[in-house]
Amino acid sequence: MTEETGIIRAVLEGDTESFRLLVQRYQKPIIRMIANLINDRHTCEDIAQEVFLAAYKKLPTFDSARSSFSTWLFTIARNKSINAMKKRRVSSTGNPPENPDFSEPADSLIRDELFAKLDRALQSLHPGHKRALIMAEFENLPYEQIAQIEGVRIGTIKSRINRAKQRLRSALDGIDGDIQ
Amino acid sequence: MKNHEVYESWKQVKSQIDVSQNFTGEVMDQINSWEQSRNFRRFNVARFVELISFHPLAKTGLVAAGAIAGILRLMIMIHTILSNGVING
Repeated sequence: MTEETGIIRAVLEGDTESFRLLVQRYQKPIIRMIANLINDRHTCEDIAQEVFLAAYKKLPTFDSARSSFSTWLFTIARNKSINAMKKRRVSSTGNPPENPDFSEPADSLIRDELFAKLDRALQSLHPGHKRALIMAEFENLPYEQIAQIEGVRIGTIKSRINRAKQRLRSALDGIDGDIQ
Repeated sequence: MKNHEVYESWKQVKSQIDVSQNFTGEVMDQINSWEQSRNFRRFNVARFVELISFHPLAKTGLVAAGAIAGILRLMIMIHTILSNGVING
């Protein structure tokens, strides 16, 4: 029995407080994924709270034979994000990119502009392509897990990610080099 | 600046996220509130059944209420039948 399975079992047996360990473990990736999907860093925590509450309520239905807990949780987060985007069209462009280490203001401006281009390109992607790219590139989830979350085949995920990268690459047209 | 460098820097920025310090606490508060309301609902039903089962007076009251409801229903039925003249033709 893995540690996570043990925690889940404890929660199911009535030890509500054990769920705190799961929240602490997954809060950052879940909030980050939601923030990037809905492009709003202000409401992402509210949606993430809904995700964890829903996960707690649905925990008795979680089947470890069908998927890992993280896949299950990311699937809930994906669905909640889609619902949130349907309910209210989030028009915010999100937080401006941070510029951690630039000595020259000109460099910083150029980079801000490039980041903004990438942000716009990301938000203009087909929703399925955007989700696949975010999960692969920002969450570093394996293709197989993304395919499970999205309910499609791995080949479809690879194709979506390739297309998404092509769109981002074209957003940076005129810059030397290639997106790897 | 090569575009893969830009892309990697952008990815790095997008991967940074600050989580509120009280996020876990807020989630646990919501869960505890939900549990409390669920237990309260369960408790009410359980308490009612317990009251009926263990208090003779409550049992008698329930039976009496049932009997009165039954008699009333019977009277209404008889009244309806008689007023429609079903028996008298």
